[in-house]
Parts: sequence; C-alpha cells; structure tokens
Amino acid sequence: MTRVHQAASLLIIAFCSWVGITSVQMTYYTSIGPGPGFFPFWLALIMGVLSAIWFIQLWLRPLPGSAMDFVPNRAGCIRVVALILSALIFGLVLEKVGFSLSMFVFLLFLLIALGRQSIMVTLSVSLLGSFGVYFLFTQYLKVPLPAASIGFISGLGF
Amino acid sequence: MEYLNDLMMGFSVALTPQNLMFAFIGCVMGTLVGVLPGLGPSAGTALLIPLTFTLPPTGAIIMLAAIYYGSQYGGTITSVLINVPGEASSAITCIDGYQMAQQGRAGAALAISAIGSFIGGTIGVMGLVAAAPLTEFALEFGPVEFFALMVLGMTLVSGLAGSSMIKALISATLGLLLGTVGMDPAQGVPRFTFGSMELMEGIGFIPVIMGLFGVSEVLTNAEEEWKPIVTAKMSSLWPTMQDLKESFGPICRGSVIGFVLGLIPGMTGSACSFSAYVAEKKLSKHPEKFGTGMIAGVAGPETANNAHANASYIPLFTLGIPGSATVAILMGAFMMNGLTPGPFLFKEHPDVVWGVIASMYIGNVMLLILNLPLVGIWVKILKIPYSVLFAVIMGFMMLGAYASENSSFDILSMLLFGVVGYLMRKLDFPLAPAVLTLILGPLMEKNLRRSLEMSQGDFHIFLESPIAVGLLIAAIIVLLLPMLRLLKYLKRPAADA
Repeated sequence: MTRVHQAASLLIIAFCSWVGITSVQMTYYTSIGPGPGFFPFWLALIMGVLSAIWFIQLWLRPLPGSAMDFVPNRAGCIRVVALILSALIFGLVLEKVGFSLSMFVFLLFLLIALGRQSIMVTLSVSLLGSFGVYFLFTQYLKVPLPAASIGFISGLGF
Repeated sequence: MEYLNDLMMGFSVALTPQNLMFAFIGCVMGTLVGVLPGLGPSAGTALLIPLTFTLPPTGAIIMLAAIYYGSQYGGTITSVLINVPGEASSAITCIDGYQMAQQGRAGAALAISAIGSFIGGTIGVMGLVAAAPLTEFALEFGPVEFFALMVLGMTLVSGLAGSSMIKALISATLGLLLGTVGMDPAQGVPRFTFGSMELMEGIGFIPVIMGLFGVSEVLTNAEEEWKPIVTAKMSSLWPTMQDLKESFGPICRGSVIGFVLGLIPGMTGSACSFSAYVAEKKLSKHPEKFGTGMIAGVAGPETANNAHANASYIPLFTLGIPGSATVAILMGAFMMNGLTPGPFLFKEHPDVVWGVIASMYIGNVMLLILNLPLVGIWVKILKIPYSVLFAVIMGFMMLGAYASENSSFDILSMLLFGVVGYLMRKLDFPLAPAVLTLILGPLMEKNLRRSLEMSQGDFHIFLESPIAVGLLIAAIIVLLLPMLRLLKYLKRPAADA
C-alpha cells in the first residue's frame, strides 16, 4: 500500500512542477503588484512541499497491506470501469443522439448489466428517467435539454 | 429589536406559498437524501442543485438549505432500522438506536431523535439570529483582514478534516489551484485553459462538486456487492414518559454541544454527534449500558448534529466562511445566484438572508411532521435497492452537469473529477477542504492581490492590522498543533528502543 501512496505523492509533485513552471511563464509580478502567475506559483510550491513531506512520512512509517489492497476485486473493477466508460460515452454522444435516447440507453445498460434488475423495473426506470425527465424539464421546469442532431434520429422524434 | 424586525420580515418572505413549497420540497428531498444509504448530504445537495436552476434566488437557497438540514433528520432512520448510517453524522446513532430497534423500540428511538433534532435545529437557528450583530464587526474588514480570515478558515477546515493534516492541506491547495483556472480577474490573461473556450470562465463549480462527491461516491459503492436491505420491525411511535424523562438532559446537552461546535469552521457533524455521545456516556450513572439500547445514546447525538447543521450557517452568514463541505456547496449556490455570503449580504439582500433564516424555523416544524407520522413511508423508500438507486443517481448527475451550462463539456469535467474524487477517497484524502477552497480560492486571491497592491508588494501590510495578526496567529496555531503531535509520534520508536 505504501508504494501506491508514494507513487501518488510523486505524481502530485510532478503536477506541481508543471503548474509552477507554467505559472512562472505567466507574469509573476507587475509594477502595481502580483501578476497572474503569482498565486498559482506559490500554491504549486506549497502543494509540492506538502507532497514531499507526505512521501517522507510514508518512507518513515510504511502503511500496512499490499498494493493489491488498493484495487477492488474483479467484479468491483468491472463495475467501476463500466460505470466510467458508459458515462463517458453518454457525455460524448448526448448532443448528437439527444437527451431522451442517450439517457434511455444509458439507464438501460446500468440497470441490466450492473444492477441486474428485472425487465419491468429496468424499462419503467429507464423510460421515466429519460423521456419522463425530458418532458418534465423542458415543458415544466423550462430547462432546455438537447434533442438529436443526427438527421435520421431526430426524424424519429428524439 | 432591529434584528427581531428583520426576522419578522424574513417570516413574511418565508411564509409566501411559493417559498413554503420550496422549503417543503427541500425537507422531503433532504430526508430522502438522509434516508438513502450511499448518498451523503454533500453529494445529495450537489445532486439536487439542478432542481433550483429556474427558481428565484431566495426560493433556491431556501430549498437547498432545507435539503441540508433535512438530511440530518433522515440519516437517523437508516441508523436505527438497518444499522447503516444514512449520513456520517448519524453513524454514532447506530450503536444504541439499532439495539433499541432489536428490542422492538425503533419507534421510540425515531420519535426521540426527531424531537431532539427539532429542538437542536431550532436552537441552532435561534443562535443564528442572535449572531447577526456579528456582521457589524465584520463590516470593518478590508482585504487584509478578509485574506487572513480565509487563511484561518482554510486551516481550520484542513486541521479538523480527516486523519492527516498534510493530506487535508494538499486537498485544500488543490481546490485553490482549481480556482485559478480561467481568465485572470485583474489582467485578463488566461490561466491553465489549454486554449479551451469552456475553461475561460473557470472550472464549473457544479461539475466539480458533483464529480468529487456524487460520482466518486457511486464509484466507491460500486466496488462492493450490493446487498438487499433488511429493516428492523417498526413499533409504536410514541415514546413512554420514561423515555422522555431520560432524553431531556441529553437533548439539552446535545443542543449546546452541537451549537458551540457548529460555530467552528471544519468541525463536522459526525464529530459533534460523537462528542455528544461521549458526553452522555461520561455523565451517565450507567455508562456500561451504552451500546445496549440507551435512549440517551440516540437523543444526545441526534440533537447535536441538527444543532450543528443550523449553527454552521453562522460563520457563512456573518463572515462568508463556509464551515463544512455542504455549507460550501450552499455558498456556491448563493454565488451562482449572484449573492456573496458574508456581512454585506445582510445589508444588501436582507430579504434573502432573513427569508432563509425564517424558513429554517418553518423547515424544522415541517421535518418534525414528516419524520414522525410519515416514518412508515420513509421505511418503504428505504427498501429501494441500491442496484436501482445508483442508476437513478448517475442519470440525475448527468442531467445536472449538462443543465448547469447546457454543455456536454461539463459532463466530461464531472467525470474527470469523479475519478479524481474516487482516487482521493481511496488514498484517504478529505474532500471537504478542496470544495471549500475551490469556492474561497478566487476571493482569497482577490484579497491577497488587493492587499499587496495597496502596500506596493510589501508583505508587512499583514502585520499592520491587529485583527489580521490575530487571525494569522490562530491559523499558525491550528497548523502547528498536529505537527507537534507528529514530532511526538516520530520520536516514539527511538524512546521505545
């Protein structure tokens, strides 16, 4: 487990180095006071020092457990990855396919593949959560949600 | 007297049918958030922000505030009936509350906790009214004092969050860094935008909090197998005279503990309820019976967490410092509506502040009604399996992230911060400091730069104001205390050897 945490601290130090270098390239100080690079530079420096202290703490006091304890079991991993990927795909296709259809398929996938729900529950929740929510938000709450921009899908009324 | 008149004006705002409805919806939603395990108050409030997009500012804040204090009520139901806290501050209630349920006294436990929550919540709101004159003092603050105050607020939240001060400070610095993304407010130079138009106005607050709290919570829960929920049987709701007698003292003490601790930024609701539990155990004539179904072990903590929830608005309303992650989210909601919480809000928008405060009184009455006679309905809702709930939560978050700016970019941004939040949880980083500083960051930078512009770059300006010096010394003490503990800890093996 210590190695995972140390790797994380090193990643943060690398991130801080990048922020620090980028900040210095902006104006650090002007004639009237601090420039746009001033605040992020000091933040990056503080964060980098804190991460270095964390690294040293881990070195002095290793954590119990192995690196594998950090990773969930196989089924857990599948669920986590599937959730992230399905949400990513939803975000990418939303404006092309439209809210109703993309949300319907998204909920259908989550409830069937990950939730293992019956077809009745899956269909009711997916229909209400997609077409029902679209109707509620666009008609009553006046929050615009995207309709399909692809010709044949928008032709179907999505 | 002036403040009493203001409060009366607040009631006239809160008692309009529209605002009453918003408070009611907020109370119902909040109780729901509290009831559903795996959805904490921060994630729940963030998740429900989209519902307020089209509401007037006062209505939106009334509803979101009600969601927060409502969740404190709802969290008890799961603690008592299924031994799983609906939210962290109700965790301690599991110990005696669940034992009471096992003995067929679930109804009495829930009734006493609802009564205690009502009294604690009401005392918290009364304290909020009493604290209003503090704003006069805060009105004297300039950029130097405000910067020092924000440094203190940040260190308090970092010092009290989680087990590691270093991790809390890293989390706080991350939030501050995220706050610098976008156009520099003074010189109009883009910072860390990668040429993206979407990032020019900064990272969206809603996608970040939804990602850090909501998505990361769902991902963490997805690691484990989702088991069906088994609830204890409900008994009669009415507590006996003996129950009421035994609860009187714990409710009074819980109110005081929750209120006082709620004033300290960074003090969590769970720390308050834990302190109240420890106090009851110490003061009890039968401490050995705690853990076997003592009603004092339910009444004290449940009262304390509600007093804390309402008292935690005091630093926000008087000084503009959010004391917890959920209050920081509420501060974000204020800012989304063009309102900056702090002393000036009382002067500039008294109708909003006093309307929200008055709505809290009304909300507490609504919650008492919702939680006592309607507890059976919440028990039924509790039976919705998480394997259905997670999909609904994910769907709602996608909708909320998109609707905040009508952009898919915010969905991707939310997902990115969801993964960041998930990794932070796994690495045991507290999330509250990051959210707090994300909100405070731009204000902090603005006040720092103004101060240095005033002094033409001379840092001694921070030592010229006695208030700023006092606040900075307090911040240094907060920072040094854990370091002293760390030094003692590091010396220990040498002594052992």
